[in-house]
Amino acid sequence: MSNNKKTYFTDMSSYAEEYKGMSEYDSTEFWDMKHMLDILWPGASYMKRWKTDILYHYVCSKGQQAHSLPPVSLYNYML
Amino acid sequence: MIVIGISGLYHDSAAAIVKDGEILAAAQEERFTRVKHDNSLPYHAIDYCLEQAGIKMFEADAVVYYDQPMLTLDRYVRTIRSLGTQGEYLREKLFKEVVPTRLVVDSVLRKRYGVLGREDKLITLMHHLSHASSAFYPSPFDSAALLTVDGVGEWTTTAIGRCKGTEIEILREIRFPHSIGLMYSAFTGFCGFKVNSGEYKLMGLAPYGDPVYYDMICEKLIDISEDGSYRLNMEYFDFHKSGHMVNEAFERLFGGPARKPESRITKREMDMAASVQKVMEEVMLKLARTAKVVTGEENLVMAGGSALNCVANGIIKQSGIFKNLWIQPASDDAGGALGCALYAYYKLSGSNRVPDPNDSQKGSYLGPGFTNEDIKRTLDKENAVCHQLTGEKLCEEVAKLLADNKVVGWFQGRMEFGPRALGNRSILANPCSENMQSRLNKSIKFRESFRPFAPAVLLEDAKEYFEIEGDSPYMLLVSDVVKGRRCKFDKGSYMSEYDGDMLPLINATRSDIPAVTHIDYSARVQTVTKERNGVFYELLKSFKEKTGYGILINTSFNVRGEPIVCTPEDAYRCFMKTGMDVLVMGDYILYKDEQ
Repeated sequence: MSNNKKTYFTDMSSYAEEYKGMSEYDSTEFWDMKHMLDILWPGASYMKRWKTDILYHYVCSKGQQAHSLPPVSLYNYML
Repeated sequence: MIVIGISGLYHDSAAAIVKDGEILAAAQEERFTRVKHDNSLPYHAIDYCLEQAGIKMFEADAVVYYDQPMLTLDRYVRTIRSLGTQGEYLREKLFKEVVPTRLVVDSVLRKRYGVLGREDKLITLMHHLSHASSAFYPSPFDSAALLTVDGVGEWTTTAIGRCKGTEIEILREIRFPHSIGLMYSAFTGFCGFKVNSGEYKLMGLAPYGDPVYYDMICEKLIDISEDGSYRLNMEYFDFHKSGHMVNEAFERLFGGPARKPESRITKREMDMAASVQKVMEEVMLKLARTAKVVTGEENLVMAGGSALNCVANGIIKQSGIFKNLWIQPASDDAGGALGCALYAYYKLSGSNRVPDPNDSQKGSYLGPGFTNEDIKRTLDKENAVCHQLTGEKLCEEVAKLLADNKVVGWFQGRMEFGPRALGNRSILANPCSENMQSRLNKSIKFRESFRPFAPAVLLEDAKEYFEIEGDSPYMLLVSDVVKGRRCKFDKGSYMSEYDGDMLPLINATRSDIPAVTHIDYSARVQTVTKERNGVFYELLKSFKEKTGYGILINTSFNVRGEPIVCTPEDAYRCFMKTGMDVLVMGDYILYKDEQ
């Protein structure tokens, strides 16, 4: 399966600038959301899925800052 | 400017403190809590670092955490969503373990310390940038290529970069779930050792086997490109979605279920170890070549858990791709604490960096130290019988005991930062003794009999024993015993009669320093100089005067499953419950038969 021409390296361009060096971390906003999630806890698994979706949208609401790599491409298991 | 660095909540939590660019202190949390690989927030280690600097938390100029919580959350939620209905385990883990800790790490730390430094803020730095900083800033180089390899940090599993002055730039990376570190860990778990701690056991087992699975691994499990980048076939792995590293397809591939911990080690596990080790070496070597190509540098610095694979490190060194190599001694997550503190110091202060030609890691003796008065207090409390000897007399007495094949617990100065004992929290013994390896493993360390021991050797004598170029002060490079010292030894004939008992193989004489010669004639060497560790150097000199050998077995002062000893109390307890003959702490010497 060796493929000499291919590379699996990626560069840093998909990370937001703020994550490439130091950044200040403030979880206040996240605490507010966590509080909301805690009210829903413990929940049935569909609830947890829903809560994961909230977190997903939270990450994405950061304007794709954290990471813009399409998740599906990560799981193309083998070429 | 004083900066505190913190790593924690994954594994091997630690803290470090840097003052005006100088590393004042660094220690792993496990040494204080006595929980091996402790992953809790390192409050004891932080308190120790603050005490060393003589400050309180609110007086620190900056407090830095070695990971970007939002990027970690990003990985979790994207992975969970991509897994669909298979994402249940990870979802539970996210809500139970990640959200209440890593995502609110600033708040958790504030609860303990009130404020986080003068400005009451937590600075965060990318995981691999923290590793990179731990590799470059203490190194003796003004510029270098960079290679970090570990399980995973945020998204990154492997990174290549360039460092110059105070700048570090990551140029290439490989992302989760594709991780050579996690693949190695998967084999570690499958062979019956603990993931995230037993990897060095797998490395030690590898020379017993033959790499018969190498082709199959390259065909089925990993696609390695010529530039060293790679991709795993996730059809065989489960670490991205469950509490298991591998799945049934992996089991089928290797002809049956995983070895149960503590059960007999079969030829299959030996061959699996040899095969995955060969893959690891190939990947690391190719990555090093690419690092050379993209940076054009003469020097290479390395960190990340996989940089503790000293066999792969030795191959990179011997390849000559780089003129010089420096590896962070605390290459695992513990070192991230040091890295993030150093990075923040240089960025916030704007100071220039003047590399120390001998490195600025201070021999990695960065942990707590104890005075003779502290030690005597402990011994009195324990009603221990002890004798006080100083300087030359102490070294002469201990050398005599070592020459008589006594096993000595050696506790001096400040504790080492990183997983290796480097002569301050060490168990020492005579490497020329033929049965010393099995004796140490069986009645002192209580660990698997196959595991080899490392030598500490006078730097000026190193070439008499090993095929080594330059120094190896941190025991991170493997070299072969010189041909002239080797005895004829046929591994094949022992293995053909292998019935689960490794002792005949282990006790077979392989050189005139058999206890530190692995079955492939390799050794994980520590070179010792007067400048780095004067007392240990004097002891080696005294041993040489008595025996003609300037070399000793140096293994960590602990028993299986416990962290290396930190305090005199830890050392005394360890001494009393093992078959150690002698304990030396500071100027005090204790003989077991007098206790």
